[in-house]
Amino acid sequence: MNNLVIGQFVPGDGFLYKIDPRTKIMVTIGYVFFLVFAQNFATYLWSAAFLALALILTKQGLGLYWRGLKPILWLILFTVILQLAFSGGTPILFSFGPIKVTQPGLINAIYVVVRFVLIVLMSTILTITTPPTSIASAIESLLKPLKAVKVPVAELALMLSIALRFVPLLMGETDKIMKAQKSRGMSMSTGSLMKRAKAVVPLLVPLFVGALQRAFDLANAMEVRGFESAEGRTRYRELAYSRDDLWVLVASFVFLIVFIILLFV
Amino acid sequence: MTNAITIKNLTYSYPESGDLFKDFSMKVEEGEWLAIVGHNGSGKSTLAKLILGLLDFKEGDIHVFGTKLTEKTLTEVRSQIGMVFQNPDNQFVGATVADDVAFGLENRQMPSIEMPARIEQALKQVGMEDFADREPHTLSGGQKQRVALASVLALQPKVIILDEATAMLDPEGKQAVMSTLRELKEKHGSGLTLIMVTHDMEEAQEADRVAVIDDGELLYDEEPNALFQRGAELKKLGLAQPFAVEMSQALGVPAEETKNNIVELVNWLSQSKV
Amino acid sequence: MAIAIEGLDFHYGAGKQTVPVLDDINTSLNDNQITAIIGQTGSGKSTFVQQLNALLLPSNGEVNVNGMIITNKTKEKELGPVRAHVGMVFQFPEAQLFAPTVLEDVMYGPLNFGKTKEEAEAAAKKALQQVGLSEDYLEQSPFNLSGGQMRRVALAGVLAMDPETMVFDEPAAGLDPQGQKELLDLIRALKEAGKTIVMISHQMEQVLALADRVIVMKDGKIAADETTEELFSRPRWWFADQHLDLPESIVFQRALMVKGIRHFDHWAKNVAELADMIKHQEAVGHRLEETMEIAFEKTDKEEVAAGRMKEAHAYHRQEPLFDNGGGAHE
Repeated sequence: MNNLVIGQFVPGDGFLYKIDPRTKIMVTIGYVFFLVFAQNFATYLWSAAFLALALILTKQGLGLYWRGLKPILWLILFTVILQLAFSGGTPILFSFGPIKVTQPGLINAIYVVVRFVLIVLMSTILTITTPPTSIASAIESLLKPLKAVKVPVAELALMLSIALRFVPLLMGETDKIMKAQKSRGMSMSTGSLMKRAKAVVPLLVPLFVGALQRAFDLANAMEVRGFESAEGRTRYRELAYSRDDLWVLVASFVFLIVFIILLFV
Repeated sequence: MTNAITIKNLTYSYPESGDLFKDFSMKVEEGEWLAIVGHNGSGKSTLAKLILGLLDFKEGDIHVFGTKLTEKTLTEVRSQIGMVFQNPDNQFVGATVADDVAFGLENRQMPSIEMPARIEQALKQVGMEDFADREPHTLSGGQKQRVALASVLALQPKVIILDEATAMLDPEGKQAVMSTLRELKEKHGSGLTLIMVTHDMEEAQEADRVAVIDDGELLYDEEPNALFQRGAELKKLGLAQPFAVEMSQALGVPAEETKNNIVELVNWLSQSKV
Repeated sequence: MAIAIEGLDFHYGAGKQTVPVLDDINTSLNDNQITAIIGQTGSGKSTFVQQLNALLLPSNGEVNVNGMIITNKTKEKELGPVRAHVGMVFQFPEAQLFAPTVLEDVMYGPLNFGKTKEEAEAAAKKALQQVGLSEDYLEQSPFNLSGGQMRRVALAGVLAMDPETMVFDEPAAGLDPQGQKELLDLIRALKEAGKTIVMISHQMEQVLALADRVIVMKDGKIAADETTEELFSRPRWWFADQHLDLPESIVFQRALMVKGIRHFDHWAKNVAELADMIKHQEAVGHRLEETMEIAFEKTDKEEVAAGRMKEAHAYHRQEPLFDNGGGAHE
């Protein structure tokens, strides 16, 4: 469970740690968006180079990212097999029965893998270098215009940050309840689908009850510490753009221009 | 002596079952260290929640430093009282230790620029200043409770209520929290009123005064040493005596000479023939 | 031996990222005894007991539960008999309740282990009786009960499986003194009924009062594995190294011995017994007394000399126990 790197903040002092979370979110979203258009070798290479730069700027070991990728390897493998099996075209490289692996299929599969890995790594960089609270306040700040149409942005951001904070706790709780019910003979791996669905009840009910209890406790704790409304609170971590953010934006812009040029080469 | 908290003729009943408190009255003096003890389900935690206006009561009134607790004064009353709850995980709001301490300050709309100093000062008081950037799941239970205490201290309350704050901790965690409380009391003197809800008599021994509650009734309200004499009564209430007191009575030490710690008891035995 | 553990290692993760938790554990649990597992938080106690009913599989080595060998190759579906043999009561077990009624919740375990509905109901009713809940509770929702009652229902849920061995992780945590006492009485009764008990506890008074034998864990290793009597004869600095307390009654007994006020042939299990021993000093046997004294010459006497003798009252550790220093022991 401790192996899960995706979505986790890992303290550090690399350059990207100092960047405003809003900048990082915008760049990440932009990167993922434009990656969808990548379609030749040069654009992928260029995108990979940009990612490599970002990786270096986190000052974290590659092992960390490898651990982040590992849990989704099977997912990548699955998409590769799909791509290989169901892309048409010629020439046919080899075939197993009705399944023909073609050259365009192979190239496509490689591109899909690279795109997938790049997207995952870029989002991992975001979460590794940005504490959940900062992500929440960045989202709040970015969504501010929506307040005009009566969207409770501050509440949503607070809910998000509290939800993030309780993720490790609920994971631990799930593990414990699972073990307790296993000790009482629960087995999820046998029986019909109906039976298996039923077997989840002894897991879900305690989890739900526990989460509810936590919610009540937390509400009390927040109230006695003076919480009345998510609106109008001051911020311990104020967001402020700095010169470094400008550099990141400049670099991203350069990346984008070259990317677009490469698309048409 | 001013009264920090006055509870007068309080009546409260659980939503589903019957009355818990009926015509209940009690006072807490400014600057004292009060332990409220009782077995689980005696109503002691409910009382703590009533004082903070987390539960609504039917009749009677509660005054905090002369201000009557009402819907309107709720914010004012809560600004005077801090509370640490039982479960260390369920009161940790922030993503890191510093963020958690900041939470209350943000609610009070303290300017951002003043926060770091206040946070550091609060963490120092509980000996957690080196943990400011740690995330809650990397802390022990005792450390989390000390952070909870710091979060309360940052708001500079006059009263701190600890609602079974050590019940879920291991002995080391318990000791760390108790010694932190002792230091706080020493430092703030009469500027800090401590109310500790507990069923641990070793902890109650630290208080100036112990109030025993059973089924919403105030049974005893006296100094710890006087209370601990009541071996049989305490047992009936599902409570225990501290070891040294229980041992004294088992050895037949006269009531007025009851020993409160092992050292006294050893010295007494060295001079007498049992 | 109900359960034997040989060469057990356990670590999370794989390759370079491994986090070792248990390291070369070799021990066995005696039938029909209460074995306490103690040690600082994070010493590996909980991970260790989870090996006993194969909730975690050993990374190396094996666990032998009543003839069933568990290694890292054992398949989940082979573990049914192991789980039926070793019942596990987690810390704060009330968190596992789920059924609409108390009866159904307690029947869950027996039904999973292949009992018929009638058998399971009979087992559940018996278990609820054992934990002191009357028939009135059978049809109630467990979520409407008090915390202490919920704890009993959860205990009954494991008891109803009628396992030979029962493992308790901090069973008395959060209970008031009365609740604690009732729970310890229940564990004692289970032992008398022939069960083998394993109990994790932070409270040394409970260990002293209940356990026949104690396994002390430190940093994933076994630091001591001996009778309760032997364990509490160890020097006080040893307990300090393990971040463990001595029960107050033992601190008291030791102080009386060091000061030469009384000599004892064993550690009293509770206040009443100790008072009795102090009042009837002459009744003490001689042979054992000698061995105890030898134990103390190496322990408290040294500590006194080194100025390590500390007041054991949990909250006043900084003050010396005796203001006249040491050396009072003749």
